[in-house]
Amino acid sequence: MTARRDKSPNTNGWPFRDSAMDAETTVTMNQRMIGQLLQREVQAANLPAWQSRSLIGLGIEVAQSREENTGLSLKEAGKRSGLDPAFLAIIEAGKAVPEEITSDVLKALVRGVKAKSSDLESAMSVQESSVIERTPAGQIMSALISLCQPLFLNRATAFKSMVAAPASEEDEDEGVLLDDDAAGVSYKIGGFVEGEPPALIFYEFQNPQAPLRGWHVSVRSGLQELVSGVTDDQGIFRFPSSNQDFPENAHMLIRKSI
Amino acid sequence: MYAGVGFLGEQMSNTDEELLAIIQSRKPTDRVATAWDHLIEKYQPILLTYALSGRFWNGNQEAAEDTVQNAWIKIFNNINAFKQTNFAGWTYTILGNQFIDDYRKNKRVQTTFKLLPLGMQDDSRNLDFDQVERLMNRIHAEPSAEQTHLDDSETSDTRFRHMAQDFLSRSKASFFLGYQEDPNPKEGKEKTRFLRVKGELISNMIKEWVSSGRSLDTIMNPRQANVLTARFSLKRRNSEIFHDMGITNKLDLDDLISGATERLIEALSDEIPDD
Repeated sequence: MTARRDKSPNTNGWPFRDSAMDAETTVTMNQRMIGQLLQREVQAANLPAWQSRSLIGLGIEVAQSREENTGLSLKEAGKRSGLDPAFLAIIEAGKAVPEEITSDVLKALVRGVKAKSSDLESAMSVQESSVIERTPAGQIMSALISLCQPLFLNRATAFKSMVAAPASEEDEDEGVLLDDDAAGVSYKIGGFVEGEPPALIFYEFQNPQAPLRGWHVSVRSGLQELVSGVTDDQGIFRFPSSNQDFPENAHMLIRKSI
Repeated sequence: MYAGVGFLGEQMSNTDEELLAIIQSRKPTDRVATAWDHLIEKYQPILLTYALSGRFWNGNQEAAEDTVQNAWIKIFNNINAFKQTNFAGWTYTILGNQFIDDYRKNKRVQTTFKLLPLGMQDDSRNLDFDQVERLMNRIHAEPSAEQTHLDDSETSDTRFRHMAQDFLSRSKASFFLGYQEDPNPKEGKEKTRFLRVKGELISNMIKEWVSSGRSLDTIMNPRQANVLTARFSLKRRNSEIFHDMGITNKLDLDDLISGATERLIEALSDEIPDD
């Protein structure tokens, strides 16, 4: 029996395939797949729930695209995409790890299973906010805020309409505090005026007198970070000037600086 | 007893029990990996032969390989829960379940439009297969001349014929019917076209059911009804349904969709009078 190490023709190439896989047996391929699952067992068990859901969502989308758009087997889809068929089975089972979902891998999936890039991103989107960490006293230390949940989308649309329209006395939307129950924080939407990029102003939950100063903010789409930064003295996080709007299918990880 | 080369490197035999003991102990890592290698080397050919048999994929090599590959992931996920003595029997059960999952999705349609292969009927589902076949025949039937102009007072039976007419008027319908007669699913583009037709047919079935003011909730649970409507009437992506409905894993989603589809077929087929 060949040693496991010899069965990975191109260890550095994971999760991509190489030509040596053309001649390999299904025994070798499945051994490599299980070997990969073993290596990630601990990491997979410790993934936060939102990341697990993103990865399962991605797997469902890839499986559906492979079936409905190409009708290809795992092996054929592997050839077309340039990905290891062992990895394709892992990803479809929702067992990929975040580091594997690079832009190159997503491009390969788009090519291999004829998935729409936007569908893959949407499948990985985080649809619900949540608290990630609290102190023993119950204070929020980090939270995840979905930017594709109806609460946010409705308010953002209303805010943009309001700033685009001439001001009137009825316009009282500016400064409306959104209480994101699930994330345990509140925020206001800002920006969009005179070419300004969008911004969010964070506060302690239901307390507009207590801005979250110096919190680290990571804006992500799926498993990829789009932009990051720190809230200022007023709790404001401004998107880069290149952002004319909030990114689609995005979410934010906010963390108190220690 | 597996008479291969032992995982310690010397010539020896490892029983399933020995290999499983190492795997379930989860340490040391390299021995666990090697024990898995042994299990796969021993069982892959057996499982593949089984998957290729007439009981399952009947010679369809690619479908069989995919099913075995997915079965290995399930075996891996559940290995620590394995407490029985018959590992081989357990893997066959997992393979059988995986086959049903794949068959539902891949062979796609034949689960819906034809019958599961002999021996694969799931006791938990009480489909009357004769009735299902009659329903399908009804849907596929060519409408007679006098049925081509029907008014709103048409009966449920004739509405099915209308649906069939609708289908037959499309170029892909001929493929749809041809596919049904093919014992092996065709791969690639034909399969994807077939899946599209399947989606349309299920969508039409939903319309048929709700057209008389009936709710899907009367024949399936609300969760199934929501999934079926989202998938086939609203054409939502599976991943969207997964997120929107707070489904916790992929298998639950597959079960909801296939269970709901079966309930719908069952209910509609009950309305077809015996020939």
